[in-house]
Amino acid sequence: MNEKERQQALTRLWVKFKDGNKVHFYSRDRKSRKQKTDREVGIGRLKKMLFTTFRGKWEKAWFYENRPQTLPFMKYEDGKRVDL
Amino acid sequence: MNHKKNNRLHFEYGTVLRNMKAYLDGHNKRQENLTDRISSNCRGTTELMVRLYLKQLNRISRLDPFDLEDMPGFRTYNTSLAAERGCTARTIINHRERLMKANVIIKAKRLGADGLELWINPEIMFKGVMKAEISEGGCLKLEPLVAPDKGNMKNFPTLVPETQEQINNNSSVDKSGVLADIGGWPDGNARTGTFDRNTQKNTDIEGPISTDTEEYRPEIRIVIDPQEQKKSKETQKNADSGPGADLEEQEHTGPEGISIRHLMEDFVSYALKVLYPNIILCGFEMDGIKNRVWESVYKSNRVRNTDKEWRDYQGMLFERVDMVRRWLDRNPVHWIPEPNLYFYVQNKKNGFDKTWLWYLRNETLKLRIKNEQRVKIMKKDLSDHSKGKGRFKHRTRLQLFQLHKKHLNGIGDDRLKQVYFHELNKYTRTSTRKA
Repeated sequence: MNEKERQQALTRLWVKFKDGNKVHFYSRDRKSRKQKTDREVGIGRLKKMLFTTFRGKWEKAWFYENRPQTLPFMKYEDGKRVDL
Repeated sequence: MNHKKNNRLHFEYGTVLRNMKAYLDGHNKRQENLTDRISSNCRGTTELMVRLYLKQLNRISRLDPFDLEDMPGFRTYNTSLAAERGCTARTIINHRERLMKANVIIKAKRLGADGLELWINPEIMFKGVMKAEISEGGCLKLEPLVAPDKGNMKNFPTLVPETQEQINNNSSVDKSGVLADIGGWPDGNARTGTFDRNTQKNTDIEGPISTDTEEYRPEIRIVIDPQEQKKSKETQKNADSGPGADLEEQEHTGPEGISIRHLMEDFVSYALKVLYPNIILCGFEMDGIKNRVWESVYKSNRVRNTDKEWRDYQGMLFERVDMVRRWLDRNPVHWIPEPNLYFYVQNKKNGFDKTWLWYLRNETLKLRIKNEQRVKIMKKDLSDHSKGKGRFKHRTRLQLFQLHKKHLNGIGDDRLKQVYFHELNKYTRTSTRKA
């Protein structure tokens, strides 16, 4: 994912892994190249990544809107949804 | 002549085209053979012809007003229509013949080098006629000449040619017995997110949940028009009810105007509380669920129901949600997908739509039990009567039969009647033997 795609993403995911690493992931919000951006698509893909590829490897996962200085709108801890 | 010029006719495009679409749809539904129907291509030609005809009529009425009885025909040429449609003249001729067969064009006259004159069915044309009056100030007033029949009017979609599909009579799918497979296994944990394969439980549900769902059930909201509210206020003042009249009571007892959006919101809140008690949702997720429910459960408000029908429907929806809750409580293996998927229109496998069959089966079972009880009571009446006992002992056999017959006619169930007459035959045989 290049810099432009990172800037254009609608959602950002911050993940804290069990080994101590902390990584930001950015959403891909288009189903195909010419389609409009859909926020739900991007969030669905990030969730899929969390619960399949990184299953059991992370402690915390916080979803943000991809804008500076925003609070998380969705939080997962130990695989479960947590109240904000 | 001056009077005629002031009161000329004006044809409304939208109404006439809608009538035309309704007429063609009705014609297509009536035809069994696919070849007898009006194809989408032919529909396009009809639309073009009607549009041009309306243009001609409106122009003629401005120059020389006419009456509905002696309406001029549609003057055209096959070649010009063909050029407009982008096809050959032969296609237009074929379309015209087909339309004459369907009675869309009632009369056609050949004028040699001057082309054609066609008369279109007044059933299509007359509903869109407006009476145009020009006042002294030069203002144009339009009034419908034929009163629109609002009772039978439908909310027609845009003029898009309908696909002509035939009913599949060879389908062997029997939908009466699909109730068992509603709780099929999930495709994967990632997809549903609520089902844990190790514990074989729905992860959203932790610990026992009370089955008293009645406490969550919201009342059906009623929205009264502001004008009616004013009227009711005035009537209350006239009746000297005092200034502190309770508006809330009025809202619940008011006669008109259910807001379907409010019904939908009530249903969503109730369903989420009952089916997903521990779920945490943020704003956009909630909006997504509402959209899904609006589309799948309330059919985007395309169905035109009365207030009473909506109230009944809402009650039925609550009942269905309760049924799902009971089904989930019965066995920990039972599960339902996330609300976003559960209320999705295209979820044919384990969506909320499947509960309709549950509801149907439940209702038919209830009715059957009720009928069985009725027959049992009648049987008892007959046997008691033969022994000279019971509440009808002083009546004759004919009187008892008439009473039962009246009761059965009130119910209106043929199967119940058959069972009753079978019992009656038995009774008459035994009573004649004894005699």
